[in-house]
Amino acid sequence: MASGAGLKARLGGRKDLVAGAGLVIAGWLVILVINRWHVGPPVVFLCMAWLAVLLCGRSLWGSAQAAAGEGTGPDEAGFELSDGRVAELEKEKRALLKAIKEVEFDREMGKMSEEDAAEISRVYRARAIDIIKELEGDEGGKPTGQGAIDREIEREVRARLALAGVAERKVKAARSVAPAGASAAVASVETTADSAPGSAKDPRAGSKKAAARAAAGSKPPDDKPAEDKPGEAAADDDHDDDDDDDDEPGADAAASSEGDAESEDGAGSKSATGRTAAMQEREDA
Amino acid sequence: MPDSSVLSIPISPISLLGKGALWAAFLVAAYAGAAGVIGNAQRRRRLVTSSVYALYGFFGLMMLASALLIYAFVTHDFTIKYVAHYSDTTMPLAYKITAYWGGLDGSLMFWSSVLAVFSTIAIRANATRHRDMIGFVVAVIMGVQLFFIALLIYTKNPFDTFLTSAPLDGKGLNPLLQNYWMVIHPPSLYIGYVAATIPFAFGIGALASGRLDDQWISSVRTWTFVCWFFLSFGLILGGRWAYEELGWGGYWAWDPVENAGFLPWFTMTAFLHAVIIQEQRGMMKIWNLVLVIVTFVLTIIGTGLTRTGAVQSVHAFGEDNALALLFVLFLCVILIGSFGLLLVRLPRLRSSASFESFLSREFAFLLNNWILLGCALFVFFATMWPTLSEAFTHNRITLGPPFFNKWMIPLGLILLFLAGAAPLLAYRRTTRDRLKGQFAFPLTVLVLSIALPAIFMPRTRAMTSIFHDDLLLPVSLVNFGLIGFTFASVLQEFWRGMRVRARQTGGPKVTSLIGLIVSKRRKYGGYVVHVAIAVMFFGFAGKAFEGMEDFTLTKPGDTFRYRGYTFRLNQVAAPSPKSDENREVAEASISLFEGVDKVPPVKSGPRAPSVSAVDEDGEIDVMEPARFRYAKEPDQPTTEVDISSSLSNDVYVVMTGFTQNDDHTLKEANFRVYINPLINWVWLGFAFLALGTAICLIPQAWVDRLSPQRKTRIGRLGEAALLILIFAGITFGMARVAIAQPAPAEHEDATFEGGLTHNSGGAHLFRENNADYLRPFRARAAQMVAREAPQVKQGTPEWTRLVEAKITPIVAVTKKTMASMTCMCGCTREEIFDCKCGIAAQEREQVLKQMGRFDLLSADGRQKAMDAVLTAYQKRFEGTSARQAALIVPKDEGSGRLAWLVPYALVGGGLALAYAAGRRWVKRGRKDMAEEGARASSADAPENEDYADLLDDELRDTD
Repeated sequence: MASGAGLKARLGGRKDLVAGAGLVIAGWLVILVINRWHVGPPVVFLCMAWLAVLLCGRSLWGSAQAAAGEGTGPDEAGFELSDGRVAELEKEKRALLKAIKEVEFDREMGKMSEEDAAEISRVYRARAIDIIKELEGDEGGKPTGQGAIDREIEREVRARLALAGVAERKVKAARSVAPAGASAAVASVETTADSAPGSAKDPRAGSKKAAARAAAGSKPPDDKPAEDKPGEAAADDDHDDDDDDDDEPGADAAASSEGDAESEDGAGSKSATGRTAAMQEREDA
Repeated sequence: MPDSSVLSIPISPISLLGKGALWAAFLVAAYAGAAGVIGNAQRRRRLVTSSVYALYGFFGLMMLASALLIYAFVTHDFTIKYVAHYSDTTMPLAYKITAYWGGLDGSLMFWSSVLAVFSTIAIRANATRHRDMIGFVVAVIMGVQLFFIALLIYTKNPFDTFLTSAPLDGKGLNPLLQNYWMVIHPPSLYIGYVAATIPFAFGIGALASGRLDDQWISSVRTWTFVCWFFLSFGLILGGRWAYEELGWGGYWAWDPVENAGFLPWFTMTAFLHAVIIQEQRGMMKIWNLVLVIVTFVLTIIGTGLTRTGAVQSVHAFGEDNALALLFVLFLCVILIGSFGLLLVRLPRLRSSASFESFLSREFAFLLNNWILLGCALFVFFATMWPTLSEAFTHNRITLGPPFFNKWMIPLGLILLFLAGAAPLLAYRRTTRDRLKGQFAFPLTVLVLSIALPAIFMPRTRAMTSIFHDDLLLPVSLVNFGLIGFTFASVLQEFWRGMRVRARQTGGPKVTSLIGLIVSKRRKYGGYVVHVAIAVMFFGFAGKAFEGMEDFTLTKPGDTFRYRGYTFRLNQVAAPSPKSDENREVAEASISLFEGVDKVPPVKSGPRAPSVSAVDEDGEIDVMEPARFRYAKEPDQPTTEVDISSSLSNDVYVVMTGFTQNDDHTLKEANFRVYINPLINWVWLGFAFLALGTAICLIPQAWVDRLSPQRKTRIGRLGEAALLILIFAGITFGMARVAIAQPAPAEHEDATFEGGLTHNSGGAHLFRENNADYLRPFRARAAQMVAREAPQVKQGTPEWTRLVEAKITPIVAVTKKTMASMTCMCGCTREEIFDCKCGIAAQEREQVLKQMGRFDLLSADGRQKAMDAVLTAYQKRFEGTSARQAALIVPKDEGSGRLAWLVPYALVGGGLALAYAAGRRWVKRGRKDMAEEGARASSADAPENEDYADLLDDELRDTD
């Protein structure tokens, strides 16, 4: 269900676009009339100049609007300086995962002996486990974070899929094989996925989180509403329509992992986002 | 162009609008910078948003100013001084548009405009990702923009008008800039320069905001590639332009301005490598920030060097001390601000890992970084040395290309070795057994690549001095060996990687290879770049075998032989005005034959120069070198070379001069021929380099289509655009378009042989193989042969061979002597051996006279002659600032010794530092590793089982 504010913002944006296009065309027509419809290099550069004027005007108007709204909204409180420790841990974990895979690849390519690879890998694994513990929250040797539950469900589903022999159609089978509570949660979350920043881009991530929540019997983690207030969402729409999901704390980490050419992993990043949110929540508490 | 009726001062509405746009841009930049800093510092989100919008507004203003300036050019608004100075009514439209960056003022505005475009794209892609630092990023970019806009407004305003009445026509763009290469070469270098601002801004933003993780690196990755690729592209285009247009047969002469483009290339290459270590191992965080800062500083230095006249160069705009001072002040601000911030954040930038072995990829990368930085320092030092030496010793010591080569050749070879060796090493450490397994094949290829040429091509065994005159190395052989080594290493990496991938995925090998390249595209794209570098080094190897010869032909049908080629003059067409191009053209037609003993006479009278069909036996090309004289620049006759290319070599012909009889028939035509072996491999190497860069930049979205599990959008647009640019670059770069143009490095002597018209030139006069000079030696050599080998009959081929064997060293030492003496015609960069001017010819005449007095048939005599000539030449300039500049490589004595000492100190200090620091790091790394090992055993503890499962799951999803 698309939110009303989002729709309004979208329509508003379109209005701006239509008005802008109208101004551009009107200006160009004036230039052409003045030049008696003779289209030559001077006219082309004049038209470009007019376009630049409009672009400049629009941007400066946006700048003034933003500055004028300074201090009037609740946005100031939502301005996080940094993801801090969580993002760094996520990054370090990803680097370690890559390093372990690289060691494995190097070993298979013959650059490293079995013993060396095992030794180095063990060191990396120990470090990675320490980080996962910190990220997941260690309670009596059991991971309790959202990611751990995601993974547990994934393992369960995988095992069932293996039994059912339909491993090649994982997602479809997961819907039919997953527990009823999880399925219900999948459905409910998927319907709201469009309006939920952070999950709008990937319904599968939303369903996984919801399934995890349902399985854990816990309330879905509150994804920091301060970052997703309607007014701000509208401002974001102006700013970069595609990047709304980055408003979520920890989304930066996920977004950066998307940019990373070699290391990122979709599922890993998505579950990492969930864990980051959980971690952030704990930190805030 | 309305005139003010009262004062008759020309008024241009375009000028007023343009100035207004610049002033508005200045104010907007100031506001954006301030809003960004305050917004981020006080966590005021809307203020940050306002600063971002202001940056977009700045972009609009710069586009407006650019459009207005180009409009002024295309409408011939000569009330604007800049337009009047750099265009005229007859110029083609394309050159009117490119005249925008043809002068100093416009080039500064172009710099600012390109930065406005880049910063808009970069901020647009990252604004919502980095709200906590984007304000600082905007502030840094706007700070840089403020400097350039301030320059434009206060000292170099391209919209300034004449105070008196405007001229009816402009002066026209310098003919040197009216050619194809000059249209694309400067913008390419600019893009490279300007793109370095984005990583710098993000790096400083990260430091200022305290967000010191690797986020900023992932945001600027595309820009580092943009910067690096376009610097490479600009450099290679500069080389190609010099090769085709300057008429000196080469493509790189360590010209100060070209060096300025090379400096950031070194540091950006270092950054591209070091950043991998930061991403993989969490190391070198400080180093990467330092590299980003240094790269940016070097781009500003490069921009300043060209525009302030701090160095003498054919590319410089002219001397401007006030501008130089402003650039120095700006540099000081950047250096103090950046490194101050770095020092403040230093405690939070500690690496999360350490080096554990010298035999690790990390250490190879570190070494590569140090050498690249060493190269940058050396080139900077040697480029600035004439200026520095003049300031400190009042002697302007010029360091010519041979001095650069002495250092850069061995450093380049070490880098080539590392390009082959680093991929074979594992991260952390490589054991001896594995080392053998990895290096066996590449080392075998290395040995074969040295042995085979050494056996079958004796010329490759020639020794070249490196670092110092007395230290000799068979550079060609080592080069071939390392090229083979690098090829073998990369081939082995692809082969083994493909096999591992095939084993892991169970797919066919070809699919596995594609999957390997795509999934690890930065790594394997990087390997393709390594191959590109090796291919380029193959091209560089040809330098050792190049040859040059001058010859004179007097009538159609005359021939000349050189290195297996025969050149036959068909005709020299009399100068004819080409009104449409506003120049007078004289063109020769020469048939090039290969592998024929006797060439046929010219068919049925003189062949028209426009006829270029190859239609005779053994004829491989018809070459048409020319000489031009522009109506607007009649004092600057220029030459147009013609090149016959193949993969094995280029035959490069320059018409250095010609004279006519009174009836306009040909009296004499002089040509210079260069044979440049393997040179086309340099351009071919660039095509590989572009391919490798393109692989590195394959957008994630394209990969997602192959394996639909991930989605990404960051930089997708920019990456795709860059890919298109790269392919366009390859297409344009490889296109062989040689538009006849003037040559700035040609020092045609206007006063030599009477006049400014096309004349016989001086290039062919008093050469090292001058018959008159060699005649007495030849006679004495004949006597010696008669004494030493009485059985050989005079006049037989054997007799000739023996005599020539005695003459060859004389020619060689004469050539070496001439190649050691700087021509004082004002070029400061060419030797009297190469320079085509009359002054060089006169100097060569003196050299022949002086050397002729010595016994050149003995080795001792040759050495004495050379020393005496060089000493006498230097002595002639005693007491003047040109004394040390007289020799192309300064002698290791007096103030010239400093030029030698500094690089030695750099290399020695660098090596000592590398060893000491490396040892310390490795020691610390091993200690850390031992501690980690002890702790690692806890990973297997039963209580960690769940976490281990979790880790395994994540590993399964990591590619």
